Order: sequence, then structure tokens, then C-alpha cells
Amino acid sequence: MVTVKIFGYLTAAMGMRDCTMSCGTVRDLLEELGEKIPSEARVHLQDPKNGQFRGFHLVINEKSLTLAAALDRELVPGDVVWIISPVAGG
Amino acid sequence: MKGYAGNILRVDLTAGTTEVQPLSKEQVRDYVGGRGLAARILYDEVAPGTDPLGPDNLFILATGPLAGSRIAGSTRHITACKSPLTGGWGEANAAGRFGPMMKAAGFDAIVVKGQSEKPVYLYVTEGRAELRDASALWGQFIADARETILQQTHSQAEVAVIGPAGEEQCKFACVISENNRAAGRSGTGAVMGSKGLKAVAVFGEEKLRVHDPERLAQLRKEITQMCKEHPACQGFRQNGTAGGIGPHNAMGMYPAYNFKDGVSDEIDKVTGETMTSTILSRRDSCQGCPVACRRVVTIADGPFAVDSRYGGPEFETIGSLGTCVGIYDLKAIAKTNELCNKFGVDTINTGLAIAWAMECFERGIFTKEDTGGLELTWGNVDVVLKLIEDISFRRGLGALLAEGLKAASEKVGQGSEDFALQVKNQAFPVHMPRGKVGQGLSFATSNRGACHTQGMHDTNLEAGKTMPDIGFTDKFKGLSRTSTEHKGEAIALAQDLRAIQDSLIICRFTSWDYGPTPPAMLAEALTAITGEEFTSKDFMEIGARVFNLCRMFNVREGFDRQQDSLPARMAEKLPRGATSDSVITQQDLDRMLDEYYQFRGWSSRGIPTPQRLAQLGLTR
Repeated sequence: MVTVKIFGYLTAAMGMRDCTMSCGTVRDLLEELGEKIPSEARVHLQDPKNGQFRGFHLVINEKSLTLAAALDRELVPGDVVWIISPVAGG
Repeated sequence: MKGYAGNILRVDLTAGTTEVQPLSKEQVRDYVGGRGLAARILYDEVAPGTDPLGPDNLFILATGPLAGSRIAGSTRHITACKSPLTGGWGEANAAGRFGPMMKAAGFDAIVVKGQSEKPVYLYVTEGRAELRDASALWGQFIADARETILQQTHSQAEVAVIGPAGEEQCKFACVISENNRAAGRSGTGAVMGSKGLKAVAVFGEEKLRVHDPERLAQLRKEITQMCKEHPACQGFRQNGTAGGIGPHNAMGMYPAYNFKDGVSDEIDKVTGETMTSTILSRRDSCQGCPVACRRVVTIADGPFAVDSRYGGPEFETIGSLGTCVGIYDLKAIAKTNELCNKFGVDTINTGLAIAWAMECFERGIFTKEDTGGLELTWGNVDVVLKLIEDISFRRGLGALLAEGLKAASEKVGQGSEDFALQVKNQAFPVHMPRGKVGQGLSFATSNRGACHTQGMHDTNLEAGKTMPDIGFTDKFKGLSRTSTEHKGEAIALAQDLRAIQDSLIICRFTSWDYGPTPPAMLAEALTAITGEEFTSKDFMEIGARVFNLCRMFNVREGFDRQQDSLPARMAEKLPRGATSDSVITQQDLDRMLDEYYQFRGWSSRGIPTPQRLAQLGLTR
């Protein structure tokens, strides 16, 4: 299993802080996550018009990856995936 | 002239006189207002080499054509001068009631020169102004002075005021309105102090004159709705700017211990979410803004009891006076915030100066003999509180720190310059250039020194934000936050966008790219207000003109590529976390600077070329 943790405003939007998911690619994980959260929250994960994932940040096992570089990555048991809300200044 | 009060107030404190001058069409067309207007006046009237704390420097307050329109985020004003901190272009802006009220009192800008023999404050109302004795106010804290001035003027007036730090000419003293809206950076408060000007109070009831009120009302409604629905705006409302702390820490880039680390194990104690569930008593908003990012905290008793009038800590303050000095106690950080606002001193410069001093102590560069007996150990709250006061009043070690980090570290030497987190003597905000490489270029090239609000956060590019009509095309989409690719161009574009945003003036949080409102929509709003046609393309041209003018102010003072630098720490790897693979070496910075200068039409030394200046109408 893969551990997923969510940071920032996505936590409230998606109604969860963390969960465990089955393996597969990052794309699989995000799609499975979309099924897990309330339907009205899916808009924060994927654009309903074109199915493209939103612009959040990904950290896998404490390594930062762009979404494009991460989507086809195969996850293995024990991996830790952080999904982080887009952030800028303060 | 629709959208403007149409007048500039000129004040000569040496002569004790005031004069009303009409705003010119050229000032409006080419510079719009706010930063642009202030830059033109400062460039024309403050000769190179002028002592920033002498009578020939100017202190300028300015607002823009959006003030009074009730568009979300349009209530800002700017303070500007030659900075005593950087020796170059000095600027700080703040939100709140002051900007719209100044315009309602009859003025788009107030320009102050000279020095008063005794302390004074300026009261501006109904198109006229009066200098009043402020001897009894000198030495008073921010909220006390404001309260007295409101009693002496009008209960609905607003006041931009300095505290003891401004009076003592601490190089990073700020100007505060509404007790907690700080125009914090660049030491504009020290310039007020040097002039003997305690405060400027404004009151007026003049309504904004608008060319097309119906169109403006429609745009206002649309912008408000967009802000209500925008996830980042919702996040700012829920947990304030501090809502970004957890995500930054997760990405290994929320600075701790003087930027030695980007991860804090105890971060959950100081996040925006924790503030919301503990000490937060109220969310505060500016007029017409649905975001309501401001925090008010209540701590009624105990060692960190605070006066709620001074607001609550932001993302920047929690980093600079919290994690960067090793404090992980929100109540203690709220106390540091209260003291800074009470004394009128910038939290970022203050916190980073203390963090540097703590590292000097850790390394044995400072001993207790140098610190007046203070144990400058990480997380020592009592020492931090004492140093905030000492910096503000220029006492002991505080007098050295009050000069700014570059000045202090050059005096102390022993390699301490390498970990003095500053550019042009302005301390780093708590954004980690190693995790946002383009932000490093922003820090290096910002006209006011290290600044997080005048460039772009790489995270917004990584998150895929684009705006093709102003140059943010698909080539920037999804770029890694730690890559140098195309960052020279992106940062130059972003700086030009910020320059027009600060001339209108509009808040970052309601406008693209932090928030939702695209430049084209703001151009439409400006058209509706003034009756003059504006497009997003015009905006970027005006932004470039304003940015280059501020650069030329610095060039005239002797600045060039040498000052567009980053401290050596940026080339050191972080010990852990999701940013630990990234550094900015001098070669990285040089590569970005070359691209940046070329895109801007500047020489390799960072000087705008005559051709570029001519294109921008800046030949005089």
C-alpha cells in the first residue's frame, strides 16, 4: 500500500488529511483518489472539462516532482505521496 | 480626470508650508498612480547621493485610480522615498482605509520634503492640509498615537503613523495604519522620523468620480464572485497567509534557523490551521474584499498577553520571528508581532537580523560580551522580545542590527556575511530561493532589495498557471520550481506585472497570479473608471516603464550587476526534505541574470540601454 498525505487548502476541500491507497502509477492513484472523495470535491483534483489534473505539487518519498514528470511513475509498497495545494506568497 | 482626486499635496517641513499642485496628464497616462507616480516624482526630484535621512529626501504617500472603486483588493497605498536601508529605491505598501481616504480627502499623493524643527503631524481634509504640533505624541506607541490623533481630527479619519523605531531612525522602521497594516519594508518610517513627521491623518467624503459606473459595478460584482470561488482566496480566508506554512514546510522550503533548514519537525504548532483553532479571535478584511486574509488574535493573560489592536502574525512573521529564530510557540510569536507593530518596525528585517545574530552566537563570533550579556540561543523567547525592543530603540546590540544585515555583517566580518540573508541590505522574506529558484532571481533583482512580492513564485509556474496575453505562455507551464529554465524571462515579466499592480494599486491576493482577476479585467476596470482605453498590453508597457525607472534610480546611485547578488548560503545544500537537492550557485545566478538582462534590454552589467529607455519614454 501507498500512504497519501494532503496539505494546504486541499485538505478541507477534499475532506481528508491522509489515507492509504493501492499501488499502480501516480496517475492511477490520483484517479482512485478522485473516486474516494466527495464528488463535488473532484473539481479540485481534475478539471471536469478536459480531465486534466489540477496544478498541485507532488512530493514522493521526500523528493519533489512536477506533475508531468510524476504521472507515469510506478509506485511501490511503502511509498509516501504528499499532495500539496498550490502555494505562492504570504 | 475621472478616477483621480486630481491633486498632489506638497509639504515643506523646513518652511512649514503646504501647497496644492494639479496632477498632470503625463503622470496619469504614463505612470497611472501608486508606485509609478511615486517613482517619477522621486527620480525627478531626489538627486543622486542625497542623504536618505536628510532634508532633501522625499517621503511620498500615493494611491491609485482604483482606490475608492470598491473592487476587491483596491484599497492600498504606497509609501516611497530613497531608502535609508538600501540607499536606493525605497518602497513599501499597505492595505486598509488609508489609500481610499486620502483620495476622498482630495489627494492622489502627498509629497513631503524638508525637516521640521519640532515634531509635527499632518492633517489633510477636504482638499486642504494643516501641520500640527506632535511634541506630545513623540515617543508614543503606534496605537496610542493613532488614538490621540483621531480624537484631535475626526473619529472616521485614518492615520499613517510611526512608532519609536521610526523616531530613532532604525533603518527598517515602518509606517503603520489601522494599528496593524504595515508598510513594512525599506525603512520608509525612518525617513518620516528623520523629518520629524510623526503621522499623516486623512479624512474626506469625496466620492470617486467614475466614467462608466454601470460597467464598473458589473466588473466589481464579477471580481468579487471570482474571489469567493477561488481556492487560494478561500484558503487565505480560512487560515490567513499562514495557511501556506504547512505546504511550504512539506516541500522543504519554509526557512528555519536562519535558512539553515527548510523543514521544521514542530511545524504543526505554528501553522495557520493551528492559529485558527487556538488564538484566532477574528478575521479582518479591507473594504469590499471577500478574502479577509487579516488575522486578529486574542491572548488575554500570561507572559504573552497581547493587545489585539495590533492584529495577528502573518506567514512572514511566523517565519522570521518564529522558525528562523527557533521559536515554535504561536503565543510567543504573536507577542513578537505585537511588539513590532507597537514600535513600528518591520517584522521580516527584525527577525532575520536576530536570526543572523543567533547564528553568530552559535559560531562564537558573538560572545556574551558582544551581546550585553544576552544568551542568543535558538528559541530563546525572552532574548528575542528584548532584541525587538533594543532594535527599535537602537540600544546595545540592537543598534548594530538596526543598520540592516549587510551593514551589520560587514562590520562584524569573520565570514558572517555569508549567512546574512539579505540583498541590498534588505533581509530575505521567508521564502526559500533554493526551493523557488526564480524567486532567488527576484530577490537579487528587485529594486528594493530581497522582496517576495515583486517577482513570481516558481510554484505558480509549476502549478501550470499561464496568462498568454501578458507573455506567460505555455512554455512556462509546469516548469519545475527548482529549475533555472526560462526563469529570467518569467521574473522580468512578473516584475512588470507587479509594477502596474502597485501603480493601480491592487492587492496580490485578488489579482492574477496569486488570485483570480486577470490583468485584462483590471484594464477594463481602469477604462470604466477613467474613460481612457487600457488593455493588458498597455499595462505591461507601463509596468516595464515603472520598473525601469526604479532601476534607473538605483543605477544613478551606483548600483549595477554587483548588487544583484545572493548570499553564499544559497549555494549550500539543505540538510533534508524535498528541496535538499537544490542550490543556487553563482553560475546558476549568472545564467539567470544573463537571460534576465537580455530579455529586459539591459547591458551585461545590468544597465538599461539607451535604446530600451527610449522605447519606454524614459530618456529624461
